[in-house]
Amino acid sequence: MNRIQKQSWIIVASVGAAFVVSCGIVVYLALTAGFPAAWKGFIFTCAGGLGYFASLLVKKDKPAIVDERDLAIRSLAKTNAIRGAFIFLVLFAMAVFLYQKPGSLIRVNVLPVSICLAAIVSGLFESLTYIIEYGKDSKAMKGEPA
Amino acid sequence: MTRLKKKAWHELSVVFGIIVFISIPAILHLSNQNAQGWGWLVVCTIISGPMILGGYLSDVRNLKHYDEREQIILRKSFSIWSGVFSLYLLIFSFASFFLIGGGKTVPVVWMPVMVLTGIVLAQCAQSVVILTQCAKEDDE
Repeated sequence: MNRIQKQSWIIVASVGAAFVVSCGIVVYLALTAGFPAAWKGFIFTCAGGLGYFASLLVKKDKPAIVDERDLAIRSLAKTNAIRGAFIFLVLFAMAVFLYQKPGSLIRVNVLPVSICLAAIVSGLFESLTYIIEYGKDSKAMKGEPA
Repeated sequence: MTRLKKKAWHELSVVFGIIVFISIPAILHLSNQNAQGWGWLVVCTIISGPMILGGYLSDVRNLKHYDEREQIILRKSFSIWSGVFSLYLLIFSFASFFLIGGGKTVPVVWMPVMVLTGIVLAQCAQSVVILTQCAKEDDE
């Protein structure tokens, strides 16, 4: 497993764990305070962003050889990250717009929070692409169909 | 006119036209009318169509139809698209947050309009990059 794969697993695990915890908080708040106050629980998903800092602690590979295949995977991962964040942002914007009554008001901090969440989604998509693509490669090396 | 130029003009006119002349006025008009219900949902789906279309037109999946030079231009234009889009959203959201103040409120229509205007801006930047690059090469 190379450095990028390790970092990807850390990010996927941290974002996944943060999302599960925030779902738990939303359920708890829904039972105690009810909606719409419970939606605030999803803000804890932002804690998944800590995985990015943790991923920096992974040691660098000693022979850091980057070949054509690595560059292709990196390019695909970046594209998927942007695409994922874009789709998330469109759906989030429309969901907020539909959930609130048209003509109503939202707190201004929803705007930067949505951008932070989109950044986390983009990181998640990038990491998943790395895991899937390198996983395909390791299967191909063992002679299994990729 | 090369394929790349045609693509740039097509994307610019279609996405820009739909968003500027249909989506944003429709959102603002419906918001003023305080429209609700299934009709509203259908309209929102139609409005969000070009947004998703814009994202998919800008991607770099179908590069096989283009030669090496065109592929490089398209990749560069896509990175410009994503750069402009993210920078615009960052500036818009954080500027609103700091200028208006964290505890204040804004109309809910700001959310889709923020994304739509971001797409328009990014699409313009992408098409301009492609057209500029093609014009440079024509000059040479």
